[in-house]
Amino acid sequence: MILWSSNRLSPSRTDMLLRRSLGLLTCLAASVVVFVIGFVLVESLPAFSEIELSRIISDDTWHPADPDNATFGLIPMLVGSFLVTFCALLWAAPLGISIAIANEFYPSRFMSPIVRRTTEIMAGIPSIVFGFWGLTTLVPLIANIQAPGQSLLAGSIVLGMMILPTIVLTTEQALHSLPNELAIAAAATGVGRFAFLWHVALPTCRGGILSGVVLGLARAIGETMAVLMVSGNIVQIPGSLFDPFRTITTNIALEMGYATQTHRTLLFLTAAILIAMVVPLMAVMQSLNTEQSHG
Amino acid sequence: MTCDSPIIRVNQLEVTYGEQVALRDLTLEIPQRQITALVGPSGCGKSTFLNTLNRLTDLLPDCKVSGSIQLNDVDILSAECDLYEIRRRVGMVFQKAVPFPLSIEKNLTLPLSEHGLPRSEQQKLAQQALKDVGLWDEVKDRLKKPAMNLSGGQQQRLCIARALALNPEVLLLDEPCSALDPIASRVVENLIVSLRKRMTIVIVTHNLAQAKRIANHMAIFWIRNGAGTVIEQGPAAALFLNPREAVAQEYLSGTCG
Repeated sequence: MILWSSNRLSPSRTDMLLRRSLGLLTCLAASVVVFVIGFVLVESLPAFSEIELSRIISDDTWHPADPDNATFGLIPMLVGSFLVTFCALLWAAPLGISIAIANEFYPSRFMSPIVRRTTEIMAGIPSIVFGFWGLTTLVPLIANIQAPGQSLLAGSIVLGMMILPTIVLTTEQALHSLPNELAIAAAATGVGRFAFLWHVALPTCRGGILSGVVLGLARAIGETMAVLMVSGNIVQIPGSLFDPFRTITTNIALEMGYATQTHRTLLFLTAAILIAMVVPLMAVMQSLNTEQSHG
Repeated sequence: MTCDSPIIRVNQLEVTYGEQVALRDLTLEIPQRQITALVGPSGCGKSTFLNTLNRLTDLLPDCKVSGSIQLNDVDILSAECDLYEIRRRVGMVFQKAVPFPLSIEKNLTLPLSEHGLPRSEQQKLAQQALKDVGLWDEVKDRLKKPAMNLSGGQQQRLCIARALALNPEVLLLDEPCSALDPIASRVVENLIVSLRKRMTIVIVTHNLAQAKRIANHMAIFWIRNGAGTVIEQGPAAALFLNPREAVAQEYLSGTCG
């Protein structure tokens, strides 16, 4: 890597001007993030004085607006978020990685371009469309097996479909970045396609593939609209794949419109918790990517 | 011109990439347990020719090869011939050292396990190959460390060891020294000479001095009618002294090419 940060390299006036203005723009972009996080934190701060904070864990139910007997249990929704993300990853990650491997290592002249194009289109479909499809097609299908249909299963299928392209495209990119010479060297020593894939390509690209999975994970945790439409939105810890549930993101979307006072503060606290969950994931992804590029 | 006991006989070889003819009417004999140097200007098909000898040309989608290449009694180009077998018998080392991004040991054992050798055998052969290339003493304490941490010369010797571990009959080398510094290059060159007793070596080189130093046999590649071919071949010493073709004479004396 060239040391572009060295001043001696570009002493000219235009370079300095560009450097200053780019610096300013960078600060501007970064400050947006700082302001958003700061705003959420400031708005959620009163929660610490208004209620006993341990109640978000100890309360079983969520009735924050009840004037007589308010409860503030966030656990069912945190579990809901976690479970639906986990179940989505459980099928989307292996499938996505497999699709990418098939595209790169076992390409078919007919199928691969179709799969690739489909994946790219899937990546661009707005989440509300996935949700709408889930609500009108998937939910009735699941309801045929077990009512009500709006369930953890529906949520994880819809979410999985949304993160699938992310995982496919990132994995493909990682596998594609392997130098051609490696494959040729493998062929020259009689190392076959599968052995090359298993012993060389996958271990080498582990960082890139994992970062795709983490990116999918982060998207799945944050997804709101699609899940809102198929999850049933009942605040409970789902006992089976067919039970309805509510995630912390959909909770904010559902209640922000009318929430006041403590209720509103608590929703901001939920948002803060969400940020606290996603930021470490992004950090993990960053470090995985660095590991990849340093080989 | 023919030679004694050729291990490889190439007859009327033609290689095309789509519309473009890379090699045409190439006929060549490669003598057993000698070093054959392939020389000639860039772009006249030396590397392409090397790639046909262990069918790496199969990897290129629109590459067509016709003619015949006999390795002892096997026709390398025939559809029935076992590719794994060919690549075990004909090893290859490239200009740029390409170790697998794995441990030093795994670099050697992976091809061995692919060829179905038991684990105990793999380690023995890997160790022997490292000794053969003079790398054993340098790496014996860090066999599990990444091969990428080795120096350029060490990586190239590791790649040679990887090819040697399979105990090939023929070793193809595509400018193995051109990316190395003179000292590392010297080490690799001496290694190549020492391998001559054990196997047939075919080396592409742009370094005529190197060809002069190490080659027993030599083939000069040139472009004729828009495609590469061998214009002259024979014992290296005789060829350097007295080439028949005028262009070969100019090339070898350094006035053209």
